[in-house]
Amino acid sequence: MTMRAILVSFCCIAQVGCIAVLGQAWAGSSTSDIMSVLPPVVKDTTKAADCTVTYLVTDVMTNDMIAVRMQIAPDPNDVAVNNLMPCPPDIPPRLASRVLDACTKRAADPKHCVFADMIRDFEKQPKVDNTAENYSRCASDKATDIGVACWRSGTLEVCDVGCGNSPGRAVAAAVTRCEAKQQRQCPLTGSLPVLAPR
Amino acid sequence: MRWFLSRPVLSGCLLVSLIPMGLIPMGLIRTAAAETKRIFTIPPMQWDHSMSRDRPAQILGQSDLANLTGGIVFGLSPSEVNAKLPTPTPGVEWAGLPFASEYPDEVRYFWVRFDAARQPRDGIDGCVGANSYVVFLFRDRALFRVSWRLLPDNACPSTHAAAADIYARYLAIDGGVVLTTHYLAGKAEAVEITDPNVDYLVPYRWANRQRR
Repeated sequence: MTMRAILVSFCCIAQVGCIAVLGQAWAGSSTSDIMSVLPPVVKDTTKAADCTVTYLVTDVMTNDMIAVRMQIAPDPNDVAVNNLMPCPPDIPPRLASRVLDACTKRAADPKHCVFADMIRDFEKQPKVDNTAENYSRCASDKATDIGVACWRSGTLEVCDVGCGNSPGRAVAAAVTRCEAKQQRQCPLTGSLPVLAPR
Repeated sequence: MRWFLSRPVLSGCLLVSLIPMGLIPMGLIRTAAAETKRIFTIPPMQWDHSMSRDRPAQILGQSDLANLTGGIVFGLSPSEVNAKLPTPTPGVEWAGLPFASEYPDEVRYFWVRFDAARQPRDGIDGCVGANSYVVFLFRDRALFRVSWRLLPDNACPSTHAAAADIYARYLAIDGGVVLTTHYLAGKAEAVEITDPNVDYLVPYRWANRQRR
């Protein structure tokens, strides 16, 4: 055995010893970590996204428009398509009611809260009965973006909603719907992704 | 081109993309200027598959609020809130605070000028008016509401953009730990964050004496 081989053997033995000692130290410190600090939450971003139904609601007094995202747990038998879980075909009224709550609990007057898809002449009677709940939402298995287009009647913004597979298409769908319903140009536009950031 | 001119109403987004390219001759079509509509977001809700029950999809806590307010959280006493301000006011104690008359209960408050609060200016692009201020409201010696009151003046005729920026900032953590509201009070804009556990005091609002 050469001198070089002897030195290499000593180094290996020393490294194993160090690892063993450090391993013991780590094992000791991990106990106190568990006692004092919660483990980090690791989210699996490669998992198929739950169905998300995103609504737009508005306070007609402030014109504040809020996007309310409702994530719905999948059925165990559901199968993801394009990494998206399917959405239920029917949305119960209680879900829409909770959506409106998101606005009413923040508004100076709950009566000021409406869905963002409004009928023609909404400005004459700006109340929730003159809005369409089912057109104020987009589902993640059908569209990536929700768009809105509005015109101003004095200080009130009168709007309609559209869904699409890009921000531009969602806005274009909203503009088309707004111009058809309202018979006016709808130059005030916006959009946002249906899915919440992960 | 003929297709566009034959349409009685053009879509706003198409106009946005075509006008800069010079495809629509000036004077032929009158169009409203395109603007961007701001959409606020709140944390998502998680429903079970039968859509019978919901809960917040994200767990947010007092530390999330403290990160935005510079350590001011609900439940602090007047002197504790005062101590967290960049320049504390001497002698702020519960017993010496005035009553907030808009509330049915014993609610006391103190206020500081907007620029004196630890409100980071980052992300607030709009002007706020020189007389804008922040009010800290207490019940049972504990902070339950912070109210930003943005008053316009000649240099800042509208505080709406700044109010929207503050509103968006706190809506991001809205849920179990904070309730964020925005409303008009006369010419002023008010944005408030409230402890959701104060239940019956939540609907009470600032009554601005300087009406529109």
